[in-house]
Parts: sequence; C-alpha cells; structure tokens
Amino acid sequence: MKRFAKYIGRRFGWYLLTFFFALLLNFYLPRLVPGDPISQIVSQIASGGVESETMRKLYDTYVHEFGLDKPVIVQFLNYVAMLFRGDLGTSFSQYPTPVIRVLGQAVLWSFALQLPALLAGWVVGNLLGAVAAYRKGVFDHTVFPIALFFNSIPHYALGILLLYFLAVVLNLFPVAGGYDQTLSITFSPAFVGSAVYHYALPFLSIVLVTVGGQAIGMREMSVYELNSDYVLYCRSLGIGNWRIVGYVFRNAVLPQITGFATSLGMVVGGSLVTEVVFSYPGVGTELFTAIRQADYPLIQGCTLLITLGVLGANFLMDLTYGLIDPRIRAAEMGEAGE
Amino acid sequence: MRELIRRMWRAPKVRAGAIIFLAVVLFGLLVPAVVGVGPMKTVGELYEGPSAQRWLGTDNFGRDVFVELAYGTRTSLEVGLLSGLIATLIGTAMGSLAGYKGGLVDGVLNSATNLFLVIPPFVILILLSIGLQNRSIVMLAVIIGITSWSWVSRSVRAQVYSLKTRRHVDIARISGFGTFAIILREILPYILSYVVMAFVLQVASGILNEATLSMLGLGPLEAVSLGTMMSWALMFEAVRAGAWWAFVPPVVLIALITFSLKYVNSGMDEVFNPRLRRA
Amino acid sequence: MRPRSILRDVIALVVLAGAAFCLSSCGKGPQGQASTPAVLPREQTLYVAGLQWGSPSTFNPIAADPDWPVGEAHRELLYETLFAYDMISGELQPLLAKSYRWADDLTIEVSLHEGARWHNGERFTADDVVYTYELARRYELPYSAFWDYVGEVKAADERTVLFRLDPRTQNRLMALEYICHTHIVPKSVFSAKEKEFGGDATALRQWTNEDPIGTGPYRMQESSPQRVVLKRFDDYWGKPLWGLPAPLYIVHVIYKGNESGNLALEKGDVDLSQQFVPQIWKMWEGGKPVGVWLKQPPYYYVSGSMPSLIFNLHRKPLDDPAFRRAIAYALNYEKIAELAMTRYSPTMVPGLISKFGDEARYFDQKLVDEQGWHYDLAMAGEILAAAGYRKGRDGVYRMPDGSRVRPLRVECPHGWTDWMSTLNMAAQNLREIGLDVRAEFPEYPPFYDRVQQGDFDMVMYNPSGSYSPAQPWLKFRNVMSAKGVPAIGAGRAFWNWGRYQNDGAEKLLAEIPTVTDEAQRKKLYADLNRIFMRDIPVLPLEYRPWLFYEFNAAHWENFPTAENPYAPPQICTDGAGIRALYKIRPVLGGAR
Repeated sequence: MKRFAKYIGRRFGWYLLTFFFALLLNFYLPRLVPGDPISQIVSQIASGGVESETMRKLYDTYVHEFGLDKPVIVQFLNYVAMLFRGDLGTSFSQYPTPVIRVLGQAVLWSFALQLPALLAGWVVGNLLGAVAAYRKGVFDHTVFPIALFFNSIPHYALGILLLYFLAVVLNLFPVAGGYDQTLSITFSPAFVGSAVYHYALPFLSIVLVTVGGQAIGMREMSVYELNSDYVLYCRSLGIGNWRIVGYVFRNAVLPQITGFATSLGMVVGGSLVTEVVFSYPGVGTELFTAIRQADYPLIQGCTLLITLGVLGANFLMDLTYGLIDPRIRAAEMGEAGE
Repeated sequence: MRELIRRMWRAPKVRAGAIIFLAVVLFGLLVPAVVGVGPMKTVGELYEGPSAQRWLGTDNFGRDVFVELAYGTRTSLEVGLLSGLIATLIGTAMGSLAGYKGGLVDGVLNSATNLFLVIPPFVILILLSIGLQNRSIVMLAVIIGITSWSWVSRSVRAQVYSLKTRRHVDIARISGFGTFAIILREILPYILSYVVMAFVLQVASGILNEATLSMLGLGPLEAVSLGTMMSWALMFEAVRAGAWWAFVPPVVLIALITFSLKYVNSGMDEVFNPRLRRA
Repeated sequence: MRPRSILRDVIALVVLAGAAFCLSSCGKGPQGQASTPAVLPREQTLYVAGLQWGSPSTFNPIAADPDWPVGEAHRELLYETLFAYDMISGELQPLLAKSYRWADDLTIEVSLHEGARWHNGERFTADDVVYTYELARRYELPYSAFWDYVGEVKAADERTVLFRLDPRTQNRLMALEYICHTHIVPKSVFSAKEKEFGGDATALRQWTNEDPIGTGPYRMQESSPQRVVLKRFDDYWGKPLWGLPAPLYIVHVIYKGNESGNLALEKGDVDLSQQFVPQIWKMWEGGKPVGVWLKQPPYYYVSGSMPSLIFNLHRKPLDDPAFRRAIAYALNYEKIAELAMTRYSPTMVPGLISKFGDEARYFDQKLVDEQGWHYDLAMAGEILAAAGYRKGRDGVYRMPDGSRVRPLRVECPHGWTDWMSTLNMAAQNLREIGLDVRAEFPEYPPFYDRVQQGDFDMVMYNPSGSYSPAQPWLKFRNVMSAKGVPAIGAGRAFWNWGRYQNDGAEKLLAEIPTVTDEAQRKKLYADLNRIFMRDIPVLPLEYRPWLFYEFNAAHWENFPTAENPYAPPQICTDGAGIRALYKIRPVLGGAR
C-alpha cells in the first residue's frame, strides 16, 4: 500500500506542476490578444458626442480600477493571490459582475449537457464495438464504416445538420436556448420538461459522434484481445463463450478508459462550439463572447475551468487505472528507477 | 520499404480510403484549374438555390458555392497536410530523442509532452490564433502543428524505448556513431510504419482543427476553407433561410476527408498489427 | 473499481449538479416583489429582442454600460427623461417636463409636470433634476460631457429648472441633446448611496442597483442571463395624463445570436425586435403576420445614419483627394444597397447631409449635383489619370512617381454581417478598376483599438453618432473636427479617426450651434457640406435606420406603421415611441 501511496503522491505532484504551468499560460496568453477592452467600455459612452478630455479622464479611471497600469509581474502575482481567495476577478464586458458568478451558472449548464452525453456515447459506443467484434460478419462490416463516418463529422457540424433537419425543416425540436422563454427557472415539471426538450438536439450531436469513436476503438481492442493467446488457450480448454467475452471485455476496456481521459481535452473543444451553434447557455458561449470582447478575466476564468476539469479528469483516471491495472503502477515505479 | 507499400496497398481498407481521399484531392485541384476565376467573385444574389448554371447555388455574398467548395477543399487540405507534417516531425523528433536517451533528457521531454497533452490544446490554439495578426494558411498550419504533436511523441517514445535494446543499435553505439546518426539509420526505419500512421491521423486532426478555428471566426483571412464556409453559413443565418446548399456540402466534404484518412489508418493498423486482423 | 460503480458515482454527481444548478441559477428578483409566476400569461406579455446581447450585470444608470432597460438614455420604461424625442418630427415631446423655452440667448427654462412621483412614492421635483446633472460634475460619469456645454443648472422653484449655457461654446444643440437624453435619477436614493460609499466613485459605479427606483411605468421584476422581465407599475404618475401601457409584463429574451432571435420573431415567440433581419419580406410573403414600418423598400425608416468608409488621411495614397474622389466614383452604391443591406437602404446620395428623414430640410440637391459623385468606372479612371496614376502591365495602378500602388486593406469587425457584405462588394469594385484591395474582418477589440490609434488604411465605421436634436451637427463634428483629437501615435481618438484637419470647417462647426435663425443655419450647413464633398474625408456607403423596427402581430396588434403613424418607429420603448405601448392590443382569441 505504501508503494501505491507513493505512486499517488508522485502523480499528484506532477499534476500540481502542470497546473502551475497552466496558470502561467492562462494568465499570459489572453494578454496576447491585441485590443484594448477599456477603450471599448469608454467608447460606448462616447456615442453621444463627448469632449476628448473627459474621455481621457474616464479611460484613466477605468485602467486604474482594473489594475492594468501595473507591471505584468505584479498583475500575475495579484492574479494568483486572488485565485487562492477564490476570486476570479471582475468581467470587463459584463462589468461589474464577478467572473465567478458569470461562470457559475454557465458551468452547470455545460456540465449537465456534456457529461451525460459523453457517458451515454461512451457506454453505447463500447457496447456496439464489443458486439461488432464478437459477431463479425455483415454486422461488423456495416457498423465499422458507419461509426467511423459519424466520428469524422465534427460535433458542431452534426449539430448544424440536426438543427436544420429536425428543428427547422421538421419543426420537431426547438431552435435555441436552454429552456422556453416563457418560463422561470424553478423546479416545476414544466420547466424541467422544457429544459429536457431543449436539451435533446445538442445532446444528440455529442452522443452520435462519441458513439462512433468509442465503437471503433472498442471494436479494435476487442479484436485485438480476441486474437490473443489466452483466448485461444481458454477456447482449447473448453471454457464457455460468455466467460471468455467477460475476460476480453475487461481487458479491452482499460485502454478505452485512458483514451476517454486523454481525448477529453479535444472533446471539450468540439462540444463547446456545439453550444454556440445551439445558443446553449454554457461555458462555450461565454468563452466565445469573451474572446470577441477581449475580456481577459472572463477568458482566463473559462480556460482555467476547462484546464482544471481536464486535469482533474485525467488525475481521476490515473487513479482508477492505477488501481485496476497493477502493470501500470509497476511500469511507473520501474521508470522512476531508471 | 517497397514490401511495406505493397502490403499496405493490398489491404481493402487502405485501398478504399485512399481512393476516396484521392478523389477529394482531385476535386480540390482540378475544379479550380478548370474554372479559372477565383471563388471570391460575386455572381448572384444572397442564397440563390442550386440551378443548372450554378450547381450548388450561391452563398451569403452571392458567390458560387460549387467553386468555393473546390477551393475550400484545397485550402483545408493544404492546412491539414502542412500541420500534419509539422506535428509528425516535432513529435517524432521529441519522442525518439526521449526514448533513446533516457534519463534526464527523457524525464524533461516526457514532462513537456505530458504538459501539452493534458492542457487542452484547443484552448492554447484559440488564444494563439487570436493573437496572430496575419492569419495566413501557413501560420495557421504552424500553430495547429505545434499544439498537436504530443501523442505522436508519446507513442514514438514507447516504440523507441523498446527498440534501443536491440543488438544492431548496440553495435552502432559501440562503433562510435553519434546519437542522431543512430536514430536516423538504426531506429527510424523500424518505426516508419508508426510514423506514417501518425502522419495520416495528424492530417485528419489538422483539418478538423482548422474547421473548428474557422467556425470561431479565427480562420484564414484571405482564403476560403471548408471551415470558413460553415462559419459564414452560421453567421448569415443559412439554417433559418433554408439554404442547405451553404452548409451541407462543406460538412459532407470534411466528413469524407476525415473518414477516408481514418479508414486508411485503420487498414494500415491491421497490416502492421496482425492481431488486429479478423481471425 | 468496475465500470459499473464508476457509473453510479457519476450519476450521483449529475444529480447533485442538477440540484446545485437549480438553486444557483434561479433568476434574481428584487426583494419585496411578488415572485414571477412560473408561466407568464401570453396575452399580457410583450416579448422584445435585439436590445440586450450579454447577460445583464448592472441596472445602474451611471455605470459605463448598464443593461436593458436602463442602458441608452432613450428608454422610457423604467427611468424617464425630461422630454421624449420624436425621431421623425424632431420634436421634444413632454414627458417629465411639460415644456421648455429660451428665457434668453443662453438660458433654457424647463417646466416640469405636476404630480410626478417616484416608484417609492416620493414626489419628483426640480431638485432631482439638478441633482442628476450635478452628479456628473462631481464624478466621471457617461454624461459628464454635459458640463462642457452647460455652465450652470439651477432649480428656480419646485417645477422649474434653468440651464445656463457655457458662454465660451454656446452650443445650443448639445445642450438640448443632454436635456433630452438623460435619465433622471432620484436624489434621495442616490445621495444616500453617496454617503454610504463615502464619495468613492468606483463603489458608486459598481453598485448594481438591482431594484431601480425610477418614475417610469414599469419596474424590474426578474433578471437572469436568459431574460429580463419588467412588470407594469399600476401607480404610475402619468396615469391621469395618458393612462397605462397595455402589456402587464415586458420580457427581453437574451438571444446568443442573430439567428435564434430572428427565428423566434418568425415563429411569433418574439413580438417586437430591433435585430437586423436579412430579407425580412420573405417572412410575410411566407404567411407570417410580420410587419415593419413601410410595406416596400427601404422597409425601415431611414434618416441620417450613414455607415461610411473612413480613410486614413495620413497614409499614401489615401492622402491624395483625387485618389479618394476616384474611389468615390468606383463603388456600385446601388448594388451595395441591394445586396449588402438587402434593400433596407436607398441608393447612397453623396454628401454628409441625408436626403431622408428630418435632416432633409438641410438637403440641397443643387449642391449635390455640382459637387457630388456617382457610380461611374470611366470617370474614376479619368480622375486617376488626371492625377498622374497610370495602370501597369499587370492591371494594377502605379503612383505618379512610378511605384506600384501598395496593397490596401479595408476592414470592419468580424460578425457585423451586413457590413461584411458591403465591404466585400466594395473591395471587389476597387479591384475591378485596378487597385489591389483586400477586405478583412478582424475581431472587434483589435479592430477598434487600431481605429482609435489611426493604424489602418480604410475601415468601415459609422461616424454618425445617435439620433438627437444635435444632428446633423454631431455627424459633422465626428467627421471633420480635429479639436481634441490627438495626432496619430499621440493617443486615442474617439471620433475623426482619419485625423482630418480643416480650419474653415472648424470655424463653421463652432458657429452652427450658436445660430438660431433656420435660414442662416441651412446656409452654414451647405458651406460645411461643400468642404466635405470637396475633400471626402469619409465616404458614406449606405444608409442605416437609427433603429431597426419589426414586429410580429400574432399576439399583439395595432403596432404603429407608416400607414398608421400614431407613434414614431422607436421600437415602442424609446422616446416618443413609447406612446405605442399604450395603443397596442392583445389579439383576441389567442394567436392567429
């Protein structure tokens, strides 16, 4: 058990280091965006014929308020200090709303959309892949290309297609938003029903693409396992088919779990654009509006959240993988001794 | 080497995928050559439907969608190929160096690789492309390439790690050849299959990344690409106007390119990895 | 851990998340208000769109960018202004004030209405008016520029306010603009806040004012990132004068993009919208009860707003007036109006004074005929040839000194779709005469940054300002005045981004606002326009309505139109347009 604890400790340490670099990138990269958000705030006031001197005073006031007149190092240290206090800063574009409040609501919508969709896709996809591997024949030969095709369509592109065919042409589903505009956010059945109804299309886009990818991966892993020595040996021993499938599945699923975690980073990107397609009130739409308006604190908040989520998921996967597969732990330990 | 290619070509998946991919490439190269005039010319009204003259109608700027589609395919392919090349080169270099050298070099390179693997490349990509003043095809391919090499590096490293204990490598080392010479002559030929497969996948992901960036409005400034076509369609409300010809064709083409590349990749995988072949 | 137990944990997480989400993202309503009903009654609710794009963050009228309905001091829903401006007639109609008159050359005397009250029951008096303007003197507020034009504001008695112009500028036009377009805030509430924050301007500006106390016929009911809900205030002080508006609730749904909002309008989920809807006639041709101001092009009420091509007058070859004039002849204005603005703009008429709307009284056709321009490629070629430009073998022009005219960039912000279409067309036109021009669409922040710094070749932007009693002077000021505009590299410009300089124009600009005689003013404007058309510092490309106004009569009917113009097309909520809210009626028997 001590070795395991050491293993966890090292992994955690490594993730902490990664997080620090992510913070650095997170802080610095948005500042690469050319464009001065303050002058935008100030110029919105200028639409009514104002003298330049007044404008300049207003501009200086805001710059000072946002701390943009201090050197970059100081700004970074302030940023880290605020993070420890749980303060993600104030959004420029939605001044004076704090970033945490903007993101708090958006995160939950995104979370509620993506997690079930990814999981559903993962489960259905893996099942499909395993069955295809096992059944062989026509089933396998049709499932594979179809699954691959779906996996080749970006989430949001599938979303646009679904939007067009199901929502506009056939009028089966709503076109945008998280819930019907006539409703207030309460726990009423009307609201929940409406939220689910609005949920269907974005959910479907993510699920279909994920199913495709998972099916293929699982099928390949299953075929790989099915051709391995221990399976042949079991067969020659006369062990029943279902037992064998059980072993195969358990071995084949492991890489799928890791694959799930590492592809999380890419999946997050595609799903976020899907939100924009459907005007879904999640982190995706907030991030893109923030980018358009050079809203540093909000951009930083969003990217930090995404990074944290992905890092967290990866860490959890490392943990579970370490627990499931003793070979991994040994390999890590072995490497360390090198 | 020739043996390798012959084996690959015999696999049905590789053949099918390659044919589709080549068909798309031809589309992207021939149509612009035949038509001559660029895709930017306004020839009609907003969102005219398909007709005998204009096979796929017009887009929001009144431009010929069929011509745009061909030019767009070419642009997307260019970005994909260039970014794939860059990513594969960087990944292979990093991976083989790390795997061969081991020790501190390995540790440092490994951490850097994992860093890029885990911090969502999508995020870095967005920020970098906003910061770019000159969003040309080449620049975009470069930044896509430098943010997506991590997994290539990882898989190459694993291979090299096991390869470096082989006898011919030892002989070369004892004979006094330098690191780079050894990697190039003794190791690379054995991992060539992996590198080629990685390249194929990188091209596919490069095209997808470009499409995503263009959807966000961060695509190439002067060229038409499949991604920019989709983003115009969304911005100019093609869905609401029922102008399916403005967004369905680019989606289908992206799917076709990606599909064909992944199919080829899957086929190659089966060739190099017999256990993956059907019993 | 088997995959099954992972699933269990995940399901638990999802449920938890769902619960947390419902609690945290409930719409916040001001305390003391009855909670919003779960479903709003459709026949008593008016849905609007196109006036609020981001999540609402503040309803403080002195913040930099307050959200609907407090932002833009034309909205008369929650806070009110002294006068309700009518964009068609140019009249200042009574609202909180009854009338105004010029007591002497420099003093405006405003008489307030009797019986006006705040939402909290307190009486509205002249002290509130004085306080509102004085606030802008003590702190840097969006309307602090008021004090550049006015020297003193005084309450003569409870019902009368005196505004004394600054004798150095004597700008009657801008004074009227601020008297017309400033939300009056309650002295009691705001001075209490001032004391609470100890005079800290930042804190005062950051106060979000979630339950605004105004004088208007509506109060804040609920706000969330998805929508803002207002409820009618049945104790409205104006009830004895003009009754109560018809809708009990007004809801602004916050759409994340143009498309969803336009689709909602088409479906009838939105009753009134201010969004740009391309080819809107297709909606009623398709049988929907959608309407606009006019039944034929340009469909919208067009007057003085002119999105234009702004030239950087300090870069070659744009510093050559002949070059700019050639460009003016090279653009196909008709096609631009037809394709880019989908017929919402009449073909551009040269000059900075509009032929349409209330500005038409200053329009001089003869002047335009003498000095103007029109789409004529041959003429463009002649002008360039006369100025010494020759076409090279590759079809691209050469400068008088022989070098190739460098590639020029023409830009507008990404996502401003009708402008993107305009520039696309303009770039094509310019390429046709032999100039290497490219249209580019950077994001708004870097774009505006460079515009202000003067780092561009040509950009498309709208220098017109907003509709106001100060037009068209304001437009001319924004295009031709160099006063207060730092040179390129020396600072940011908030207008006249091309850095045009002309003493004659400056003198005229200083004189026009002081003149009271209409005929005299007309002559001065003509002089100014003549200078403009000679130099062409900016090139107006198309007209644009100050406000887009479209409605769907499925749930509410009797919206004002050109056939039934009982109120101007100010989206039923701004200025004199608010009269419409009193006259619209729910469609009986539900939707059509």
